[in-house]
Amino acid sequence: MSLLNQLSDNKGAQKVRTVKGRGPGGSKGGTAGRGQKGQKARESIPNWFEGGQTPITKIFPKRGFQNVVSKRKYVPVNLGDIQARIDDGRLDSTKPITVKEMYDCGLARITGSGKKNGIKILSRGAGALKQPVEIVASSASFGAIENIEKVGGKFEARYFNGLALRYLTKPEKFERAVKLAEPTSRRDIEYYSDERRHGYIAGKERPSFEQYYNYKGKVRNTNRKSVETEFVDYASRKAFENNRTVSFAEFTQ
Amino acid sequence: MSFFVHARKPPTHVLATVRKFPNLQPLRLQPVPAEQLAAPLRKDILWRAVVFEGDAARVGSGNSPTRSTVGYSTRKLRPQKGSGRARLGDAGSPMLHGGGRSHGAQAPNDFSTKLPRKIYAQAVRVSLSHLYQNGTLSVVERGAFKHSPALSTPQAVNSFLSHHDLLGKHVVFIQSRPVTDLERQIMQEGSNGRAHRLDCTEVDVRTLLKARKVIVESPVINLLAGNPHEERTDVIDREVIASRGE
Repeated sequence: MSLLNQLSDNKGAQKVRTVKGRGPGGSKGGTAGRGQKGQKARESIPNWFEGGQTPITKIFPKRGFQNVVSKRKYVPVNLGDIQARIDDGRLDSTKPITVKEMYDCGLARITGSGKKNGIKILSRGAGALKQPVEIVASSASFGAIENIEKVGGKFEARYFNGLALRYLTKPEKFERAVKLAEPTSRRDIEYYSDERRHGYIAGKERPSFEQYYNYKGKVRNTNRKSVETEFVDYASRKAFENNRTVSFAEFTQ
Repeated sequence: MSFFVHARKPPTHVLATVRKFPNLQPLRLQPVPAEQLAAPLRKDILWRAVVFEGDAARVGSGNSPTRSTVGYSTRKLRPQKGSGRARLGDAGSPMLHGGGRSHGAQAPNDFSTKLPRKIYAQAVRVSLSHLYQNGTLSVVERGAFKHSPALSTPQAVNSFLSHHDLLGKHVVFIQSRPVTDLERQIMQEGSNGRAHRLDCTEVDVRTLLKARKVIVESPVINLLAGNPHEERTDVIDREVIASRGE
């Protein structure tokens, strides 16, 4: 039996265009769905036009904006869920529980837009925690940190950018190892330097601006040969030390 | 597809039976990519390819007179101004009774439609898979038709067809090299015009689906269906199919 007479397109795949204004034979003949008389029947006018009345966008202009970019977006993971996975044997509590482990056991889908800052540990169901766990994540609530430590576990807040998260969860997609980025914004640096947050750079010496950007007082990108210039040490400069009050008499001398 | 890590991976290849010619007895098994011979049946894709081919084959003899061919004079019927009546040009105007037809059909007409190349390639793979899983498609050795006595005379062709109970049925032999006029003639006479010997550039989806039996040389599968993981050779030239109507 040939298949030829059984073929058809999927239902709804073809859409029939409504033909307007082609005479009374069609369903959209006469006024072509535009009603009777007036500007709207004859020409197109913008959707926002209110017939000459002051438009609402002019009465209430838009003011301000919401800074979506700097808002940190985390995927929440609760301690009770972690304990449930450990009980199921899907998480190993003897090893550190990191982004990769939580991703693989289905606790957190951290790829995709709106989830760019990784995982935040929250304390719902924390009473179920039986054994010490060592967790590394982007962030944790104070309650979660307290509950982890109550059972003898450890928590470290580690900074991840989007690339780091993708690399850690799907390393097979990368041809070579990706160096995990350090925080660059002041807000992140302060967060991960905070001991109360168990930030990974807390207590460590923070690099100065010169160290951070490897600044050596060199003049670069000049047409001339690169020259060492003197690094101006403003702190030790004694520019105004010898200043004193002078009298008119001294000028007349 | 890491969200489906627990799903079973479908087999990458199927083992196709390569047969002897002309007795069509099993000879050996040959791995063929599953996309070529085990593609899921997509009737909508086949429908699109069949309609595409049908549109391309349409010609029609519609040939309506235009304002330049109705044969009237091009003299202006009345002055532009001053008559008190509407402006009017020549008598061939499509607006007038007896005037020419605007945008009228002009033979040979072109009814051809467009279809994405990848959709058409998929339709070929789907139809080959359908035929193979139905038992309609038989794969024989490379060059099996070339010097076969079974295809050497019209009588031999006739006895081959009657032996396999294919007499009077739509049978297609597909080979990779071009078919000579003599080979065509022998096939034509031996089957009363019901069987066809084609090379792979002449095959389209309708030919495959119409056939009761399709016998192909083993390299033809790869030429027709292409290796989806490689650059397609496009043996079936869509441009040729689209221009066949002219």
